[in-house]
Amino acid sequence: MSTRTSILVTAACTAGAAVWLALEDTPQFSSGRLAVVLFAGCALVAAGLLAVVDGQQRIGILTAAAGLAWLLERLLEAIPTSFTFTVGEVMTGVWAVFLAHALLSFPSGRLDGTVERVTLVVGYLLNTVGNLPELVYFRFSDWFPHGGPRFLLSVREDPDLALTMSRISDGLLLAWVVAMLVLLGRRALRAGPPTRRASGPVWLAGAVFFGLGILVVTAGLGWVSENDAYGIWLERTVGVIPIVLAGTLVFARLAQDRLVTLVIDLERRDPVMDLRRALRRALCDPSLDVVYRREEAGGWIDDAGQPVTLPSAGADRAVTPIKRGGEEVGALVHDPILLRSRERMQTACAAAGLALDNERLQADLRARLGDLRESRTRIVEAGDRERRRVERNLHDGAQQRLMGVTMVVRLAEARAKGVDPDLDGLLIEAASDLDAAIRELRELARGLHPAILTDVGLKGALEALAERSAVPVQLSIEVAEPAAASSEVGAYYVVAEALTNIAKHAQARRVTVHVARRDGLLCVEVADDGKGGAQPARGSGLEGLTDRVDSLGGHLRLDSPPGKGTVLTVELPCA
Amino acid sequence: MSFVTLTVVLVDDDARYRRVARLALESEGVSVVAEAGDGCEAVRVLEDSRADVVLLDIGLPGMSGSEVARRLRGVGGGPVVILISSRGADYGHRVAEGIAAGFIAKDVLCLAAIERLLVDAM
Repeated sequence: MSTRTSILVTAACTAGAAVWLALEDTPQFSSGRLAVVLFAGCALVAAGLLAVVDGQQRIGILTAAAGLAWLLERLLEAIPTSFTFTVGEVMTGVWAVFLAHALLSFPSGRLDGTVERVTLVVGYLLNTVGNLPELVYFRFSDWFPHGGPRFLLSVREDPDLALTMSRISDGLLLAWVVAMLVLLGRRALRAGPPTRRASGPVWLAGAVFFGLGILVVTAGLGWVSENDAYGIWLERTVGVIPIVLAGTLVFARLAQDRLVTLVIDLERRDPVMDLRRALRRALCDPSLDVVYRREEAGGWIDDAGQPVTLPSAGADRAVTPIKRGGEEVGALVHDPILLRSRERMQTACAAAGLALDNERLQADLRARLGDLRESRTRIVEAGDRERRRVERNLHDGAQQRLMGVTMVVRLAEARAKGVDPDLDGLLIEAASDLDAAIRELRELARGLHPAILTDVGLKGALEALAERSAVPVQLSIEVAEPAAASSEVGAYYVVAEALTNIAKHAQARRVTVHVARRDGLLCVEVADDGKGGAQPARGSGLEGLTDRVDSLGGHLRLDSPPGKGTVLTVELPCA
Repeated sequence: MSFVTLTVVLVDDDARYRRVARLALESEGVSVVAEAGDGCEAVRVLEDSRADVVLLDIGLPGMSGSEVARRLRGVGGGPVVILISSRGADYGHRVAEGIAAGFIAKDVLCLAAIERLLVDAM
């Protein structure tokens, strides 16, 4: 226990005991009321101590001061010496300002803005020097007809003037209490959900306190019927306030514990618990987001790897940077109200920083994977475009010329027949060579790009493939409407490559090819009754197919148990 | 099937191929009554000249051979449409399906091939 805490405890105990001893036989205090007064004072000091121990220094000291002032005021009134009596009378009500100060500035203990500060200063003045104008003219001899303590600062006894002064100071006091109630309401209205949840009970207790205060003062002014009940209820409320304060602090402690849980969660790297969810839970802000620094993406990315723009200053979102080793690695985008709980934010950011390295690497990885997938798609598309261009050039150029040359040779052959046997023989050979060249060229062009797919569609293109296949193919196609061109090209290559592989390696007697549209997917299945055991070797056509299918966002599966044939299944997105 | 003289219109964007094809066909007794270098010209030419057969390259610039064939199909009493291309028969037959009497690869274009398709078409 710190020195300050020890002093407070000792003072509270002493004051409590002294009040009890002094008021024990006083007729104006019943034993029940005395108990309430004692409890309220001690509870305020205890709640203040709890707050100090909890690290809420300002609130703690203000609350304890209110408790001590409360006890002291009653003690001084009860001790029959002129000095204590004078001091007690002058400081009447100062406890209420300490308590009002604590209630308004909860939980930070800091006042917000000039209006609040000025109002509090006015409060302290009203309840100290503000008491004097009445007191210096008050006829205390009415109180102590048989002699008693004197008011040392008395100027003269003038009951009428004293009453006027009392009315003025009570009027000012009323205005002050109303102002405090308004300021409290303003705080409550301005606060966001997290603060409202945390401070609500204290503000409510404050509102009741100020409300009763208004009643007590108006009763003093004679505006409502004079009634001691208000004062008794005020005393009871003062007894309840420390309980509310302490309870709220305990709940705040629980919130702090949530931060501790956060650290533990993140340390364990619970895979179910992602950083954003953990922080949302720990800081009670369901709108909270985590963003990550990434220079290449122009600043910030979210946890899906997508670039994001941070909200500008003054927006209804706040940004708190997360730093690791002096470097900004990320940021929390959150409700600006969380900025008021600076320590919680600091703790949360420190915890987040620990986990962020990992998260950031993953977000970065996802962004890179996204880039990679896009670039692979672009490469495959560029490759397809190039193949289509080369096929077109072959068709318009070399193939076209060979057609003409073949026709010319045939013509020459017809005309040379019987005229020159040597030339005749040469022309026959040339025509045959040209036929072979044209066949090879057509095969090459077809391998580059299936023009038939563009001009006839997937069904015709697959039928042409099946016709050319060395192994008999049973083809079934259930595609009512065309899929995306890139997926149809993909499906064509899958079947073409599969049929080539089957002819080369599978020793199959028959192949079934089934193509269908299912749930937005173009599904291709090529099954043979061959020897199985097929493996997608590096550099094989199958590996190229896998790349192509992946780049389209599809899936390829090869099922080839030895001796039981091979089934190649591919799913490609239709759109 | 016996024609006194088979008349054809030859449509291909390659003038050299048209020259060679005309020579080859004429050497077999076919009369090439007109030529065209693209789809639009082909439609114009076919409105003016009467022919038994139109040999239509699939890969024409602008309006493709397939489109010209579809357009001719709608006109009754026109010439028999045969598609030609330097690509193979597996491709050509499928393109020709439903829109032309048939397909002949350019390197094997001759009277016999045309007659075979005409017989099939009857």
